[in-house]
Parts: sequence; structure tokens; C-alpha cells
Amino acid sequence: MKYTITGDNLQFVNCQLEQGEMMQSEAGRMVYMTGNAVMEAKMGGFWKGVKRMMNGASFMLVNYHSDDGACVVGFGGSVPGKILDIDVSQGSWLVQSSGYIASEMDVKLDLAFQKRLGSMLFGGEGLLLQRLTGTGKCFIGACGDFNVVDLKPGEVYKVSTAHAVAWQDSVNYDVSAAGGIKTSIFGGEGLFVTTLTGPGKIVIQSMSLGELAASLIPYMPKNTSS
Amino acid sequence: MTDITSKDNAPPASAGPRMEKRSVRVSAVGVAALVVLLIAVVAAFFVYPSLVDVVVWAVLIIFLVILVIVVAYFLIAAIVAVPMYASKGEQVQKGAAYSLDDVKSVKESSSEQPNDGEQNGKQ
Repeated sequence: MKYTITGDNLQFVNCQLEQGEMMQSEAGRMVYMTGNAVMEAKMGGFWKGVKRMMNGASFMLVNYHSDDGACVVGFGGSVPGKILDIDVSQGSWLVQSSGYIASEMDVKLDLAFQKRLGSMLFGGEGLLLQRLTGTGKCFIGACGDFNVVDLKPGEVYKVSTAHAVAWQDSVNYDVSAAGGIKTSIFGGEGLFVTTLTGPGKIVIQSMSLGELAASLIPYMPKNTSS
Repeated sequence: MTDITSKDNAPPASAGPRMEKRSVRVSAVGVAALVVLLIAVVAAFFVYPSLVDVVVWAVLIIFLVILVIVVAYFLIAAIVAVPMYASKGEQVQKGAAYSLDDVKSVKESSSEQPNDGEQNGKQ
């Protein structure tokens, strides 16, 4: 599968499928496709669909293929932000819920749980995550701009809670105190920050969807009628 | 000047791509059945008003269960927060040095030049 990721902060992922090639996406992520492309919703098992719903994806996935010649399918994210291509053949990834957009057919999207109570309650990503395993390319999206860091063994990045978009399974995800009482109360990060310990790749976002929503609230039109 | 609207200038049917119409009659019957089912449900609510009560109660109970779970989640978080804060402590790494070169921003990319960090360290 050939693809390009285009755009700036509301990106497209454009995928070229040769005849006989297939790919899948979350329902509602397709933005355009060429006339010879065919889309078909597939559940792949009721329980799998339920598990997908629990981690923020759609009940059914949509398959795309062409019966006659190469086709192009374009996907977009659900929030203003970036789209990242990750290769799950190099190791499985954990992604924040609703991060999955589309992938090759051999990529498996599954439900994952936070392993530690502290990460679950204070990590900012909640209890449920998306686990991507198998082989092939996968496209994930989230709010804001992304930084990708390849952590060496023992390297630690402290990340503001809810700002870790995705990390390889080999990365240790935990929380630690943001600082002393002054920092915790006036530092703006609250009591905890997320700690990501290598080895493995991590993806960090510049702004979470919650922060974006909060920043827009003051500018929302108010009902001034009396 | 060539008149492109003229039938004489239209490309022959065999040349270039053509659109094939695939039947969706079975799906259309399915959609129609769903619409009928929806109308039947709405009609049932009018004919048997007690059904509305049952549905409203079911929705209310589900909503309350979700509310209880959310409240319990935040309650547990509030109770556990300070002990967790004390036990985790502030972690500061010693004897490590990091470089700005390791932090790669995500730009436009393609299958030839992936952006998932495979290039990290190679650039």
C-alpha cells in the first residue's frame, strides 16, 4: 500500500490500493475515495465490535478495496490535529482511546487496560486504551501537533497528563508526583505527571482535546437576550 | 472551436473508465424494514403508553448506573490521590543527558518517507 499524509493541522492520509489490496478504517473516517473503490462495513464478531466500542472506536470497521485497477481512499481524523503512520510490525503499540483511524488488514485493533491503579486514575488516558498488534501500517490521529521520541533503555520523559498519544508496548507508562506542594497547587499540572520510560517510541501531543475545548469556552457565543 | 457538448465529440463507450451500477435492492429492502420498524415502535408508544414508562425507566436506570460508576471513579481517585502522591514521590533522573535531536516533529510523510520515528536517529 502506498500512502501520503498531507496537510498541516487537519491532515489527510491518502492511500493507494492496488487491485486485490484491502485496508480497513474506523467507521466515519473516510473523507473521499475514487470511483472504483468499494467500501464494506464488517463487524468481525460481536464481542470484537463491543470491545472496539469500549475503547472509543466504532462497532464496525469499514473495509476498502478495488475490483478493477488501483484506487485511492482518503481519511481524516476526528479532531483538529495530526495523523501519524506507525509500523506495528516493529512491535505492538498502545494508543489513547479513539486514536485509531485506519490500517492495513493485518493490523489488529484490540482493547487494552491500564496496568496500574495510579496510571488508570491519574495518567489522564483513562482505564481503556487501544492496542495495535500484527503486521503492517496503521494511521492514528489526535488533537494538536505531535512529537515522536525514540527512548533508549532507561530514558525517561515526564509528560503532562493526557498528552501521551501513543507508545510502544515496551515503554513503561506510570505516574509520579509533579513536585512539592507549591508546584502541585500552583504549577498547573496538578498532583501528577505521566512518566514514560524507555526503551521504545513515544508520541506526545501539544494539546489535548479537553484543553482545546476549554480554551474555546470563553469565546463561545452567549445568549444575551433578556 | 470544438463543441464539447456535441454527441459527435463524446468519447466512445469503450474508451476510458466507465461506471458500473451495482444493485443495492436487498439493502434498500433492509433500510425500508428498519424505517417500518422505527415507525412501528413510535406507533407502539402511542398505542401502549405504558411502554414509554418502561423505556424511560430503563434509560433512567442505565443513566444512574453510569452516573454511579463515574461518581465512584472520582471518589476513589479523590481518596487515593494523596496516598498515591506520597507513595509515588517526585522522580528525578540522575546521570542522564538528553538531546533536542531525539525529538522529531510530525510533518507530512509518505510510504517512501514514513514519519513514525523509523527515521529518528537517521536524519
